[in-house]
Amino acid sequence: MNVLWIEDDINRIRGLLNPLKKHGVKLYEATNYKQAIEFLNSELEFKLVVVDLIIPRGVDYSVEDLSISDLKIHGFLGIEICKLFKEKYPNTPIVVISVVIDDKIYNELLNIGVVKIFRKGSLIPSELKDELIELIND
Amino acid sequence: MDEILKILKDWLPLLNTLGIIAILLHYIKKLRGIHQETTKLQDEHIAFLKSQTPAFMFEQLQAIKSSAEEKINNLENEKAEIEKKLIDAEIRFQEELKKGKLSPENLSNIYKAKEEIETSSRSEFAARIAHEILLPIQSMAIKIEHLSSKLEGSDRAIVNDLQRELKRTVLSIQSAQLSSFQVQDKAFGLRRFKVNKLIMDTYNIVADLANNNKSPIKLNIENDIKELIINSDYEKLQIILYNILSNAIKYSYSGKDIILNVFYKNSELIFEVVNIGIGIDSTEKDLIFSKGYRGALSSERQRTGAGMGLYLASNLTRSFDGNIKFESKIIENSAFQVIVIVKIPIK
Repeated sequence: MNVLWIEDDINRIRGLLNPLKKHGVKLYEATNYKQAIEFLNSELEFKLVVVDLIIPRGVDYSVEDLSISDLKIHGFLGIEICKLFKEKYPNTPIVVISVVIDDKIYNELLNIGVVKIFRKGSLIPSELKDELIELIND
Repeated sequence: MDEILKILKDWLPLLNTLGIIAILLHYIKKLRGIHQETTKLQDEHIAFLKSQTPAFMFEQLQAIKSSAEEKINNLENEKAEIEKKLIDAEIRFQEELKKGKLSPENLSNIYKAKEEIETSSRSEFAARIAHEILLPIQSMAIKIEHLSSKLEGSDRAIVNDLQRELKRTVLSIQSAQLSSFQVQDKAFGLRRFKVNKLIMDTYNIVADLANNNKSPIKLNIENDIKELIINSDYEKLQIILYNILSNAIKYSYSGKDIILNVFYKNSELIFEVVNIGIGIDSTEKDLIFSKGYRGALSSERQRTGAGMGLYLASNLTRSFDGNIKFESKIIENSAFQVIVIVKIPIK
């Protein structure tokens, strides 16, 4: 079972999805938009896609751009990724795990067809695993 | 006019930012407490842990602490810089006001500009702060759970305390995040979960605070509600319940129980929190849900807080098409009733 996790800070929170591996899940990681699109266009089939909302584009941008915040540079690229995966794989469940708490963005995500949204902070890996496994097995 | 608008554009976002920073600094102090606890834990149990856990975990914990401390320092520097800019900008603004250049039309334009600036600066700042603070906390929460699974007895109890403190901090930060937005939209069915999980998770987060105050929380939940599964916004409901319970703990007399009753009827989920405590005067009934209001008796009773809990709970409750009612007798008791509309999933 393949699961794709799109998250730029993966090194700091890798443990969040590690418990899935004990359930036969093979975890693929993309740390930017460019890598996520490569997975989208690959031959791999995913049982679940987990997306962070604020991720870097993963291509060169000017030095001038680097002086402003990540959000200004990249916007919510995760929303675009959700749209693209949903268009190509309408039956693959998409889950968002993000620090963003804005209702307007949540509304947009639910309209796209995202099935669950979790807020980063005190998520417990073992509890999260149960909810994700349920989606994979559905 | 252009000059005034330019000045406003300079200082209004700073004013908003400063307000949010003030709230966040309160929580950052809490974070510091967590770091101290982590250090204490490491010092006390380092020998034991070294034999039980991989060395990399210590490096990781150290790295999280250093990075979080660096960010807190950066935020404090940022705050000092903003304060200085704000004072300069305000002096300039006052000078322009004295020149008498403001007309009703100008004022209306200024308010419009203010609204636009407020909306964009708040969202961006809240998202940025969340990223700076919540991510290190999430990273810490993962490691703490791992640590907890390796420990037993009193060592495990200390780590579990830490876990609860982390959850409280996250709820406080999420509350601050939410209060920086205009919460008007409808709540969403983001997750499917048992009502009992929501209640027990929240109870576990606040139970030790209530016990420390010698005002333990007694749960009164009907059996059929324990098994009830709903499709709703778990975190928002938890923030509402957390704030109402925290408020009850803060204003309860020591030695008196707090009662949490939970009912469900016709899509209405009802939480009722009853406490024996300092109560609310009838003259305050229209004020207690206002932003920043802390109650006439709170300062003389040395109750701390930013006065955001009930304001936020009330706003969030409206996003569930619900409302909060309360009854109280001054210096005797209070009963808060939160009513939210929830959906029962088909499957």
